[in-house]
Amino acid sequence: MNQSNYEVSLLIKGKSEKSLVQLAGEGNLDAFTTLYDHYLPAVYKRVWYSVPRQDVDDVTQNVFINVLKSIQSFRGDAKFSTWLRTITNRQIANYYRQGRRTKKEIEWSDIETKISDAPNQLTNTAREDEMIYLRQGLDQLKDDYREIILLRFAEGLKFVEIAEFKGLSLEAVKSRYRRAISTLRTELGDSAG
Amino acid sequence: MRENLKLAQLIYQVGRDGVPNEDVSERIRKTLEAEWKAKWPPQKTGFLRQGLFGWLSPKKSEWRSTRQREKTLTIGLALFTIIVMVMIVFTFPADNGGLPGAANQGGLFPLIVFSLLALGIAVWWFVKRKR
Repeated sequence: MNQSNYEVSLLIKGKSEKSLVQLAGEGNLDAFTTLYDHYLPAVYKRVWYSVPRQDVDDVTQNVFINVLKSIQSFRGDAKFSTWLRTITNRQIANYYRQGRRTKKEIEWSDIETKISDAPNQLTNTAREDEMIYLRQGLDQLKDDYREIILLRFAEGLKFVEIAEFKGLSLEAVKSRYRRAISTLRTELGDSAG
Repeated sequence: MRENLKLAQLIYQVGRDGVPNEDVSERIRKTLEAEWKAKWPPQKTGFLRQGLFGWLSPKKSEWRSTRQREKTLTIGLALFTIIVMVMIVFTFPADNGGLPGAANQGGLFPLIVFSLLALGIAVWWFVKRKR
């Protein structure tokens, strides 16, 4: 992904993000829909990396319902994208909290659904196996490490953009990214063994 | 280093499937529109309901908007001025500060009526804006 979905000073359909958020907060559905269209891919992909496939749509929908319900209280102290990211992470956490199931249990139900639903979709199955394997690894990571991987891959941010967002130097971000990948590799090695 | 690169490629490839298709996007959009209509029911039409009264009695959430506050205070001040002007015309005789007019009779009754009217509007406004 070359272009970031969480661009800071972006213009969406000729309007600034700030004015769209303000209009949405005043009850303008078109402004809200424009924001939805713009941010859906990034939110969806973040959720995709975090919850089992069969629940990605529902969790994504809950994120935007939550945004809709609380957009009036968004005061613009932080960037809208940061606020949206926080809501997305909270919904992912709620998903696991409400189900009162561990992530491993959910992954098992994911595998069972997959086996019963699509016995002849071998290619998809291989990809989904990788997804489950990866999700388990990501789950084991420290928040900082998981976040930098999600910023890089789920949102497609460049290192410079991550550095700006996190308030870190470019070198610090690259270093943290390398450590995150190495740790993830170790975790995946451990879980495979 | 090479292993790290391979893992990064795997993460990227797995994520490539994480794109909402049109059906999903449309379904979520419809749900959001329904939620939106429940949160912001269609506005009542007409100048008095939507315009004047709408500006005078904003919802609590609308009050946060600077533009809305300006509208409310401007209309409120204009109405207040009109009421005071009318009170002066009706209440005080022309030779005692009142304006020359048709009903330039003076007396306590118009003063009470217009004071109650102003008080009523203020209370109504305060109650309505707490929605």
